[in-house]
Amino acid sequence: MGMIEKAPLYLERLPGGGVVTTSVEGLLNWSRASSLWYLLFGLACCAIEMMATGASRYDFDRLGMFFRASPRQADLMMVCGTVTHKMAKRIKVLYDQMADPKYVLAMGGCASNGGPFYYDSYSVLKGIDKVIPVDVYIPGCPPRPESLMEGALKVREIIMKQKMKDFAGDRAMQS
Amino acid sequence: MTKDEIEKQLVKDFGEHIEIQTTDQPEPFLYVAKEKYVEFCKYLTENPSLAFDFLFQLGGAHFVDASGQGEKFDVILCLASSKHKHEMVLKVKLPAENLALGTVTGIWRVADFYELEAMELYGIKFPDHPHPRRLLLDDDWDYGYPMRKGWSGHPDFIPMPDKSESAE
Amino acid sequence: MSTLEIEKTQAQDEFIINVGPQHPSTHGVLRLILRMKGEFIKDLKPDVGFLHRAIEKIAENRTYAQFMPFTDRIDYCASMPCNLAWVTAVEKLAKIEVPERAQYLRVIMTELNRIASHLIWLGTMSLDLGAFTPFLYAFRERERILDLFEMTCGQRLTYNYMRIGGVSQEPPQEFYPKCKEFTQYFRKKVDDYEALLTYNPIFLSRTKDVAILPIDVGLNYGASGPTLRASGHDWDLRKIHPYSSYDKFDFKAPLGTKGDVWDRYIVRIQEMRQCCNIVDQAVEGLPEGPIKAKVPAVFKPKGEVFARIEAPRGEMGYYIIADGTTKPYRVKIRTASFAHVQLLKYLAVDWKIADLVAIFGSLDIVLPEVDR
Repeated sequence: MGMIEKAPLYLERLPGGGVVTTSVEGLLNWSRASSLWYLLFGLACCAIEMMATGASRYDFDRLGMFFRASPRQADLMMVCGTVTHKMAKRIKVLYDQMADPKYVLAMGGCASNGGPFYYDSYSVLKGIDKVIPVDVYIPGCPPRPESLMEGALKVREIIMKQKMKDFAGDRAMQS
Repeated sequence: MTKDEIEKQLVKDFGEHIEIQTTDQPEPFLYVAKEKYVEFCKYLTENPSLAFDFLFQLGGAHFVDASGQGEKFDVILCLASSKHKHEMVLKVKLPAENLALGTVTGIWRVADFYELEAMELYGIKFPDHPHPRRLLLDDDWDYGYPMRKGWSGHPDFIPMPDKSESAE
Repeated sequence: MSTLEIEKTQAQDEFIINVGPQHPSTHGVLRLILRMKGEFIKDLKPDVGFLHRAIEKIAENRTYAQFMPFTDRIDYCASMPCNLAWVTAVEKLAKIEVPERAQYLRVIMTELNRIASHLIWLGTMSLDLGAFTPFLYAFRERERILDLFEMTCGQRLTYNYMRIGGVSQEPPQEFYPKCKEFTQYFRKKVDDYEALLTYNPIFLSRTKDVAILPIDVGLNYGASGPTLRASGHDWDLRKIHPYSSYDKFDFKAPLGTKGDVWDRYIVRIQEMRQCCNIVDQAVEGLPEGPIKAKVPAVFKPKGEVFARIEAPRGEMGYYIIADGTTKPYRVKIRTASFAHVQLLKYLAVDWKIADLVAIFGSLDIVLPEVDR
């Protein structure tokens, strides 16, 4: 995305340049949102509901979402299940391996804030947002496949509203 | 063999080292002295009329009295026999000052992970365990033995707020 | 990240591989550290604890009824048997007589959940071996079972259906004809799965004579359930120490002959058919009566109890120390997968890494059972 990084900075200064950036943004956002590949990453009970959502009855493939085993090939991480302190370090490693732009969906009560294991558990991290930034939270224990589809559609809405200047120069700015 | 027959046989062979606990359960519950523990376990597997060849589980327990003093630890084994279809519960009392106990991984290989778990969560030591290591807790866990009564060492441990009895 | 000292015995031409906690074939968060010589596995160490949620500690601070939802989450693929294990132990402790209708309902739910659990096993094991179709078929059938459960108690995965002394609610009237419809439909589907996999030459070459488990080694390693029945050991707790009216039903516990991966596969396939038989008999013979026994509202049992049941993966049991208050003093949970994960080293050494996937799939391990 090298040229696209610099394009908004220059194009928007030209008269009528805003129109070009908006339509290019629309095209890029639509193409990213229609083909969100998620990381095959199930931790606990919610993973079974994620598998059921990807299987025959509720099909993720009709949204263009397909599971990938390697974090380098995925752009959505669905954290399904309870996160323990031991696992949280590995999740950070996985998150860092995903390429930008990446999104995180915290599925279920445990990933949102510890869930039923909030009290009296010495090894559960109370919510994955203590380690990585989360875009969508889905409550439920476990959430129904319809809730998970709704969460995935919310991620699509977030993507459709993103602007190119959010990404402009981000690699150049980062050390 | 029924509960009474098993108890009679065990008292006959190991009388002074075991102590039968009277319960209303259909299995025998008994305590064995710490020093004779490994020998007793070997006897339980090798004696043909007992033949307890299946270790169902091995776990620790921590007892404190009301004031928080008088610490005692127990190691509890649940055994079953695949030949004779009987079961029993074996317990070993450990004083808090000397928490070392012999390992039974040579007798039942499944005891390996159970003993590692007891080591990690209760602090019960098994000095001849073949490969002591961390099993369930985090690599850099430094907050004590979490399953002990009254433990609350970790910063992320949130105990359930106390509600009154009538709310239950 | 430590390698758990496996490198200390490494020879010149061996290398260490980490099958990390995020891996499509580990069925959860299990980390395996392998010492390999070329394609062959020479040593294997499982690193568990990534899903240790301290359920035993939580049990000490919840009442006996409040602990029920946590039992669901110990093995989420088969929540009804986990519920059943807990209520069996507590009822044995407090000497509660469960009405017969409740016992039959418990059997129906447990056996339906056994089928659902074996379907998850079938789907994930075939997916690991490279067959995508059985995964989709198995989950399609499983959705029908989940519809039945949703009709009864409103939940698809973690049911919290049983109560101490009975079950929580009566299934609606359309549940029973739909159960019969399902068992008739499902028997034909099992034939479909067998047609796809059982005598498939690729499947046979990957699973026949791979990782044979002798019975005495299995007993020593604490193996139970289909894993041990596949080696020929006729041991099914539903027949040996019947609980919850299982002695009133006529069913077989399928046995294998050799104890290789193929036997462990075929035993579970045949078990699915036997479960259909049990469900049919239970629905036919369902007696009238109450669905809950009278249990005091403030329930304070005292004593110690040890109880076990036959869960889909093996034997599951509880040891409870009750001290006369509303909350248990100590709850020790015994699950089948904790023993089977130790069996992995014995079975996988000297096989190739591609066989490890088949061996692991045949043991049917779920990680929350290992870590609790």
